[in-house]
Amino acid sequence: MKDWYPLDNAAKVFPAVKSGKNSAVYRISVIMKEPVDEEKLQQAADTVAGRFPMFMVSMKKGIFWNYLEKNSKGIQVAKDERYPCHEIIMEKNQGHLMKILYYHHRISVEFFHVLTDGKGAAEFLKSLLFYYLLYSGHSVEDDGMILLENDITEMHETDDSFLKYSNNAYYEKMTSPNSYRIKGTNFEIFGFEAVHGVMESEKLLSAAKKRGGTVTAYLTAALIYSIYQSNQAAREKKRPIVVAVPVNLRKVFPSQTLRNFFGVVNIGVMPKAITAFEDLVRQCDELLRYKTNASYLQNIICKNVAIESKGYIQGIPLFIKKWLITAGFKQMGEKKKTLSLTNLGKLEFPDSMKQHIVQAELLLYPTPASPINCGVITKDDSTIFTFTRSIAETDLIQTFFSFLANEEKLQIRVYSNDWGRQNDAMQKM
Amino acid sequence: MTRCKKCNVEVECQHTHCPLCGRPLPERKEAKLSMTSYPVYAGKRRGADGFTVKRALLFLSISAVILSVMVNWFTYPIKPVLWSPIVTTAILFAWGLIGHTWLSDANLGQKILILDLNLCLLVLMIDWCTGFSRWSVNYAVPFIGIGATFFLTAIAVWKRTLWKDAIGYVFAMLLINLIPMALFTSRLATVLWTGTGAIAYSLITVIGMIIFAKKTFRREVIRRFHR
Repeated sequence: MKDWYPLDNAAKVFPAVKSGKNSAVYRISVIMKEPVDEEKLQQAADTVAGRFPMFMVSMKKGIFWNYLEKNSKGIQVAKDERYPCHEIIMEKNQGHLMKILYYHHRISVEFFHVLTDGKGAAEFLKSLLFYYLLYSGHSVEDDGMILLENDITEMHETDDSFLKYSNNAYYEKMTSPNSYRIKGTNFEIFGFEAVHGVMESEKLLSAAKKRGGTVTAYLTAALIYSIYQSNQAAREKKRPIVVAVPVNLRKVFPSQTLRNFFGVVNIGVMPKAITAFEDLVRQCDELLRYKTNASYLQNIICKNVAIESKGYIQGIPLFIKKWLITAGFKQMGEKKKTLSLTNLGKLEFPDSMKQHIVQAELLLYPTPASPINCGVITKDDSTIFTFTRSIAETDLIQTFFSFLANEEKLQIRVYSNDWGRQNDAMQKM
Repeated sequence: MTRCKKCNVEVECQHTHCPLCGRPLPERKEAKLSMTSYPVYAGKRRGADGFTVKRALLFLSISAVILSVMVNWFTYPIKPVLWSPIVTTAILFAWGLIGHTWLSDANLGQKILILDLNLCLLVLMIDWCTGFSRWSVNYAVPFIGIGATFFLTAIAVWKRTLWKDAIGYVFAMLLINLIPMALFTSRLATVLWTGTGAIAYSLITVIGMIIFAKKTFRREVIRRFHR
């Protein structure tokens, strides 16, 4: 196996823009039926580490680009003590760029986005859970759905699929207006609050179908509608309300990489064009269908790779490139979206594992320009919609869930990590 | 499970208040631990207002800089010596020494590199404020560079695990050690042998690395220079 990897195309942005307030760390968690046993979890972590060498790495600085280098230190599971999606400081984490955390019934994996996207993280979590359940004495079968310890790590799992699927096709250059941005008051003590809303998948799917869209289109429309309803400034401004939706490119291109392979499509609506919710769902559905077809996504890949492969870009030293990437990220990414919504879809487990896992959660890190972001994940009949926020205001979140409950008649159960309330208590200490 | 009547959602039993609207849940006086409970974060107070040693030191440092500039300004006509920039640079040096060299999690190579640059800045400022007799650019800066390169290689030889990291920093030191020569070329420095000595020492170190660790050296060059 290789002992170093150049960063993939998407990963090159994250080290440049990463900071305490933009951690670029996302989390996938599962709630187990039984309380988590640390010893068994550590055993499972030690087992799967060898199967995922592309994640057992440290990041190093090169002259022109950062790169990932094999880290021989084992990954240490730890008790979840900090707010979710906290910045991963490599030097304080045995050189690793990912974490395995546990608390009570919850097992979480947190990844610095430089390593992989949601798909890669989900595969890692599934393997970890398989061995955790096995070592806990349960009889589990992999049913061909789990990457096992003794499987050979295929070379294509470490591919930079952006390069593989980029061709010399003409690519469209887009200039779009800056979007409406959510403003709010940062928590007095910086941190992220996660607010989860649990819904029944079947009912959510029916509601989406009734309105004429897919689940992602439906939730995107509900978000845009809630931003519009909860914020007068959004209604009055002439800027579009834009939801950035990461798309798993493996669904269109036959890649099996476990590293980053996603594109981001922006689904936006001008506030003046918002009338009925049903129309909004259809509009979002049409946009999503158009922007997730093969040629559109090919366009995204070519554009991203073309930027990176320009000779004069390659020759710029890293410390200068960092400034350019940060400026480009703000101008072309952060300013063009109101918030992000990522839907990882269904987390599939073999039947023998399902009974031990209650539900799953996906938490996407907020950024200063986009202080509320959303993650959606489904396990069996539970879809969990999670808002992660760094601001005190909850209007949008309240409007969103109340809208789904009141208008769409969905049963919603909520819980959170209470960072906001605990913040008040911490200040008094 | 309790329902928040305002938001029309069910709220899990670990909450006494609705996570959406913040209203107290009338039927829930006490929070219970549930499967989905998160840890209690109390005690993590980073970022909160209040007294910390770091903030006290920051306050004292800024005060010292402002006072020294003022005193220097008013006493300059009596004793025309520009000493306040030395105080300011020394305070910055102390911050670098404590914050980076001592307390930070940076690796040893980076610590030596930053310390070298900080020390060079300090000696340059002292020399400049005391009449610029050029002892800093002629001798101090080149010898600090040689010292830093020596430390880097000595530590790399002593601790083999640092060997790979050291290669990158030795390269960086080679670039830094070009500065004395640049100072000579621009006529800021007047002694040539110290500048060339610094470059020669760095080159010898790089050649030593090529001879004694050819494979590692080659591998590191490929990684660090990949485009």
